[in-house]
Amino acid sequence: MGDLPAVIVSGIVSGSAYALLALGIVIIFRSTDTVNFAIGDIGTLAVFMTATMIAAGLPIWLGLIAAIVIAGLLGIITERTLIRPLGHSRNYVFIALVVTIGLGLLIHAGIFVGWGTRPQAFPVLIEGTVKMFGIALTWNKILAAGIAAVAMIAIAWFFKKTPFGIAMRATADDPVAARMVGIDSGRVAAIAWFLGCGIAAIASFFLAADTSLNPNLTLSPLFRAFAGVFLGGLTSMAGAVIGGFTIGVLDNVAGRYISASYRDTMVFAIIVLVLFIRPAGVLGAGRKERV
Amino acid sequence: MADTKTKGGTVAVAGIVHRYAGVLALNGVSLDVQPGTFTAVLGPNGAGKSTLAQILCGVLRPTQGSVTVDGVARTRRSRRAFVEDGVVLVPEGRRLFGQLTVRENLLLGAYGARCGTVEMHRRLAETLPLMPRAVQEGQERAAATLSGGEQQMLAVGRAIMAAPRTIVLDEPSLGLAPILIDKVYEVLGQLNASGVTVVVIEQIAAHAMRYAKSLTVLDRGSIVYSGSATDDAAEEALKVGYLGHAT
Repeated sequence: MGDLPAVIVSGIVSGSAYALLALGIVIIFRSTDTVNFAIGDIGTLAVFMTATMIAAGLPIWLGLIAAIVIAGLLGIITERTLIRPLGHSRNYVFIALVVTIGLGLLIHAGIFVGWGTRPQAFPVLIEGTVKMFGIALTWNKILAAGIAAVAMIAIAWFFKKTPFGIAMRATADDPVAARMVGIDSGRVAAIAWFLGCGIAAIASFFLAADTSLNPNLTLSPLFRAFAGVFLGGLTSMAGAVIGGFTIGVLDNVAGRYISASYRDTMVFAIIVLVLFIRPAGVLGAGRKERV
Repeated sequence: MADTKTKGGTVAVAGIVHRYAGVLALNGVSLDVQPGTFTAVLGPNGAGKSTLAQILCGVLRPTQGSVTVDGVARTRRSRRAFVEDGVVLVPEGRRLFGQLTVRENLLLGAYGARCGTVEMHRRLAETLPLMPRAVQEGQERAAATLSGGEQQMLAVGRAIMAAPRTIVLDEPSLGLAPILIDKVYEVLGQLNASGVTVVVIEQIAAHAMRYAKSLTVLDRGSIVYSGSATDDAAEEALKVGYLGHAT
């Protein structure tokens, strides 16, 4: 087990993509009660659009910013046109979930139509590899983890320190009271969808650079991100991030020491066990009970 | 508290009818809240008091009737517009953001009223001295960890942060010990003295009647008395019986 540190580092690095997606899912869920299954596809579509711009001469780092903005705007449009009109019917959560699954399939098919089925090469921001604990990690992966960390810190700061971030947390806590105080729920929803889809685009961007750009880019990472979300609790941002990283590490540890073909099995066995003990997730809404 | 020249907004409702899924809650209620007054709206359980409070503040749109703020029709406007007009509600059950800190709860009161960061902190410095010690010293505590009385004071503080011209309180004494109710009313008295219009909606008359200058009695969706809170007619209206005990 001498290579355990290496396995863990590599797990944290790949876990950063899961953590970003998980954070995006939680931000959107907390503010609009919508489990956004289309978040991965929105991120992927934004990266495809960006790839076309990069091919036309846009610098790569500007491409990253463009991907974030495009995904964010797609998020706002989705909330405005598909989610908000649902109103607040009794089965809202379920209906919204089905709507986002449908949207995800639609975008997925749209990418096939627009860009074809063949995976495309996607440029990396920096070339080369570095050795850490005896394993080679690409600079791309390290940069991805670094940018993910910066994005997470920025989001934590936004929600903790800015008045608008505080208003967004207040809306998640009690939407009716938030409206009584005068908080603009429409703006809260728009910003939440922008942020959620924007950080999903960061994950998609580096996943594409890591392997190749293809329509199934976020399929398996999103699957793991959801595992992270349920591990951490659907209402906790910190829980989602920790959950995402935990899945990354578990995934790698299981793949290295048990069997590569049992990775998913092991990861989900552990999640089932955790949820059996704490159904609301490790940091989830269990503490939301009112005094 | 902001400049005094803008104080004392007039909120008036006329011919209000409100139904919840067909069930009549208010039937032809008209109420004119004069600027700078301290008004008590009293009535037994189920009289429609909370419904009236929510309509006064734009939280609820009436089935029929009109709402005006300073003589301008506001019936179809959003809750936010009411906050901008300086009409602020302290809702029944306080509705604090329990998971947020005491300080964040206060700041949100100002934020909801479209207030800039500098002004927000100026108001915070002005509001904190009115608050009980637990609020002043526990600004980083989760609001849910405060006691009932402290929470009620915090809810009033959050409303003060919006620099209200009219503050409407829905059952501020509910579930509080008499000594704590006194504290809440003391602050309301101070607010009123500084020019803010105060409307308290209560089921129990005792505390409200000590401060109120005008009185409205509501029963089964209609106003049965409206006038001065100090003359004999008011006393008579309260003694009729449905308020339990009069002052």
